[in-house]
Amino acid sequence: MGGGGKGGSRTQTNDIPEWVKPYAKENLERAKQAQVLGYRPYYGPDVAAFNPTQMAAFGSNINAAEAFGLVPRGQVSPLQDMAPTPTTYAGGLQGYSSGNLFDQAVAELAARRPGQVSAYNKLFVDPYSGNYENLYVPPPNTGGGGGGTSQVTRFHGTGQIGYT
Amino acid sequence: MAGAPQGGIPNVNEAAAQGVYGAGLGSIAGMGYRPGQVRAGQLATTDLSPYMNPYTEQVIQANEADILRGAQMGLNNLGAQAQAARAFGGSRHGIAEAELGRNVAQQLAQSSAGLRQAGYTQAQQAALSDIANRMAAQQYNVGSGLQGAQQRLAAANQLANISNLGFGMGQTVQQNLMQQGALQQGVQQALIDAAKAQYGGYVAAPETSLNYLSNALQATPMPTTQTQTGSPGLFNMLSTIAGIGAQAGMFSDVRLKKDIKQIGKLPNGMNLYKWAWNKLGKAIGADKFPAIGVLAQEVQKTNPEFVVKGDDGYLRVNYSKIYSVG
Repeated sequence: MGGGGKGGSRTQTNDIPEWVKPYAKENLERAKQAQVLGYRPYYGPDVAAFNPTQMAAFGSNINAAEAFGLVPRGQVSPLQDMAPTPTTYAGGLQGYSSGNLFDQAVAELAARRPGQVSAYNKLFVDPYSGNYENLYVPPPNTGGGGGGTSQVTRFHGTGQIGYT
Repeated sequence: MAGAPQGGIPNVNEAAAQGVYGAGLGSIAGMGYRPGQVRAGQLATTDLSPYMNPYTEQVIQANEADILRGAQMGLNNLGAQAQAARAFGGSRHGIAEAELGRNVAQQLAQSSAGLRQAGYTQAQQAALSDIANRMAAQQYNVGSGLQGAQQRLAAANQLANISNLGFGMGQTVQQNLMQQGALQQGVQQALIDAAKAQYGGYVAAPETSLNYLSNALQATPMPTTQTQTGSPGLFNMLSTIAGIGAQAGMFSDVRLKKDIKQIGKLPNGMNLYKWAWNKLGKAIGADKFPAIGVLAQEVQKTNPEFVVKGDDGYLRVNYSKIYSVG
């Protein structure tokens, strides 16, 4: 903390105890490791599909419309506009996932702006191999290297994480 | 298709639609009903011959024969009476026969006319009765037609009501299905949301785990070492000087100082110096005070009211007044 009147100055320094410093460093190191994990998309169901009861209600509604001549017979079905068909998940639960749409959007971005996506991906581990090409440039006077290739060895498999 | 008939139960939507259609047709037919005209029969234009008794002439002839036979018997009696009185063929006999003949003729005429009049009256009454019957029949037929039309309209109305009821029932059932389905879907969506939340917790675990150590460190009593270093600013020093000077006045006399160097100017334009105390200064204890400030002899030239002379003969400056200037 600095301050004082004209021509003067005051500095206040707070320092943590020495025994805390290893833990703080450890936490920072762990944060550094977690930082490179990257985005982990959710591929499970997002929206519950319509169930047979709802389909029956839809069918009844369409049938009423057909009976009263409001829509041509047989040309509208409850499943219309409901593609793709829902996916069956554990326990028989049926639903829709945004995972494929997400993949498609990322692929589209990679196709249109490959450089940006490449730079983005290099910030994180390879989601398939677990390798990590470190392009991080540490701030000066931290003693770390920068711009080199460091790898997070075997994110998958051994579960060990370490920089080389 | 969910709306198709199942188990022999007609599809309520189809039935309702057909009912509405049928009710509409019935109503249209009812609206088109035109009652037939009732025409009153007239006796004047009625041919009474079919109503005449076909045996009237036979009755009249039989009646005339009876009268004539009675007349013959009367003539025979008159002849027998005249023969007994030996007056047969006489004038009295002739007069009696003539009187009998006139009575018989009169009886024949009256009897025939009466019988014919009775027959005509009977035919007329039969015709009138027939006209009345036809009138009643026409009225009944018209009434029946109207009643039938009203019945058809009522039936169409009932059909429409039943169709509307059926449609409403169908709609109610459909809404119930929708609500039930939405409840079921809600349960499934809740499961999905719970799974997503768990997944979110799983992927956030690395970041979340960082907080454990941080929270533990924060919860642990941890005295910090606080070090303050600083150098007083010019105004800080002058404030101090002013505080001291307010008590005892400042030794600003130039005769108590050595190594005097100007280090700047105050906002009011006065020169600011630093110095070292000389022997005289140290002798009177001036070295206990800061060796920075103004020179009394300079201030005395511009603001003599700020300067006073002490009992020891040295000049002193009231610094609190210096601050009030400028």
